[in-house]
Amino acid sequence: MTDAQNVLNQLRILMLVDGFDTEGLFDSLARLLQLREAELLLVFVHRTGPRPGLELAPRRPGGHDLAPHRERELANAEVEGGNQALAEAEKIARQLGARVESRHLDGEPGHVVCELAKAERADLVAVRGTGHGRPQVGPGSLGPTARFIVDHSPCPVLLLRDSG
Amino acid sequence: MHTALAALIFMVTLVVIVVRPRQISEAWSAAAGAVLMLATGVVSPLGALTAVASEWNLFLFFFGLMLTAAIADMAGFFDWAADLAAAAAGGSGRRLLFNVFVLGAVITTFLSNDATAIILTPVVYTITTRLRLRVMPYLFAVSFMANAASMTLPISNPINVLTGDHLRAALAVYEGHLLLASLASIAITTAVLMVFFWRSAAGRFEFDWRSAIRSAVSDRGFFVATVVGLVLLAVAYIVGSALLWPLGVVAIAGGAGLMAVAVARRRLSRDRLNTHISPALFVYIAALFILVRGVQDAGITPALVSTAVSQASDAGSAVVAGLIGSAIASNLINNLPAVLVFISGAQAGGVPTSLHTPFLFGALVGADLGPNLTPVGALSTMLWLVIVRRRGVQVSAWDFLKIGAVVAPLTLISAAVIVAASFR
Repeated sequence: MTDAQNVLNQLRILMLVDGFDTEGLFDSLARLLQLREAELLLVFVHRTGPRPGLELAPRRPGGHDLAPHRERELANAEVEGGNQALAEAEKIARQLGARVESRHLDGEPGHVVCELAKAERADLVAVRGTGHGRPQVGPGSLGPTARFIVDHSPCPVLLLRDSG
Repeated sequence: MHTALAALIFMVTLVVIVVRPRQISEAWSAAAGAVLMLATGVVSPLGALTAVASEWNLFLFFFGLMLTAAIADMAGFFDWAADLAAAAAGGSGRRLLFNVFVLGAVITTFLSNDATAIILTPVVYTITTRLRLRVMPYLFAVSFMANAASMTLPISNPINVLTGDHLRAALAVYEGHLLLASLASIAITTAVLMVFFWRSAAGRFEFDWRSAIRSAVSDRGFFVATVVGLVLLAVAYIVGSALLWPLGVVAIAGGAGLMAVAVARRRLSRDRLNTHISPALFVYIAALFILVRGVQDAGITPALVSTAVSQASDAGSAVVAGLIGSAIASNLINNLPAVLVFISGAQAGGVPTSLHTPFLFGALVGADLGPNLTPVGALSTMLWLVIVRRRGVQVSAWDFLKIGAVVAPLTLISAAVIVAASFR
């Protein structure tokens, strides 16, 4: 193991888990960093703001935006999906030998990650760099959450590209 | 003076409806416009009453549609259908995307685009969230298919019922002109969106469909009775369209029958019913009828329609004129008021009698497929984009415009060619 890798082992890394292709996300991370003995803080953020895409559902004049029972089911699905994503990420991280802590928080993902990185004195934030329907590289490749984190993180940010 | 006043009230009301200042409901803005039409004497009370009462079939149809969708929702039909689509996908995100297109097309065809867009969207959002797939491809599939499949049957879009009442076209005639165009529109929309979302929908998922269906269908007897009722209603719609029955009566009878099933099984939920029944919608539509009557009596709609059809020399070119005009108007002011203006203008003598039918078929196609260009009409889409971008929210409308810029022209052109050829 090189000295550089030894230094990386001591890092406290905050990693945003978004629920999609967690294995691919860790592949990208493990290719760059030796995660054995690293301290990994895994975060899943349950978005509390407007849900992107739901505005595509038209509203009848005078009608509801989203029926209350649908709102409940959707909120449950989000929590359930978040818990599954964190459990899967924890499992993979432990297999890679990292020391793992995980948090399931509410809010706008970019804001939550930056505040947590500051509060937890993270040395590095790792986040998926590409968003839905965006090019892998070039202008516009970063999703809004990654863009916010790059702009506001108190520590260095590692942008992970999809392995494919 | 009379004409200018009618035009002013109509245009200001439509702008307020689209812009929705201070989130004022479209229904109240439209009602205010209708009251102004009456107060200024542009429309007489008798004229207003006639304009609203003569469209009783559409009101009944909307009410029946809402009842049917409400009971189907209470029985877990939409969740069951989405679970079935996920189970048939075998863990592939791309196959699920294709299945969502199929599901959207079937629900739009038999329960209308309204049910697909309003009810299926949150159902699909929930299932894809639970399966940890990217939601956008699936939401776009539902949203685009709600329009793309909405001319398959006369009941697939309330606009078809409205236009059909004036065309008096039996099912065989209707399908003779529109079925092939509808299938082409469904195929084009599916193909374009599958290509666009090929990478985003690449995820895989595990799905315990047995447990999902168990939780979606809490009362098996109620569910089975509802599905049987929906199938019978679909058959009644087809028979009714063939025999030129008023489809509003069929829809109300179907909705009432399903409601009786829900009452008998003690499954009727007043809260759920309230979320589906929107009384303000009836105010909105009634007010639109009065507003359009105002501009019709002032000679504006016949003049507008006559301009749109002025270059048409035969049935084929009348189809194209109606289609282009109503597609553009649907994106500017929304498709329901747009098609009302076209019907009113054609009725009031704006279109030569020989071109009346092809022109209205073209207008129907434009109003059904045109909205795929902008999600909620061009003006409100622009306002919406400005507002949500200012708030820093991820914007799906740009994606919609990008895809719509491909899908809408392709489906409109193919429909124009097919429908125009059907009149030769």
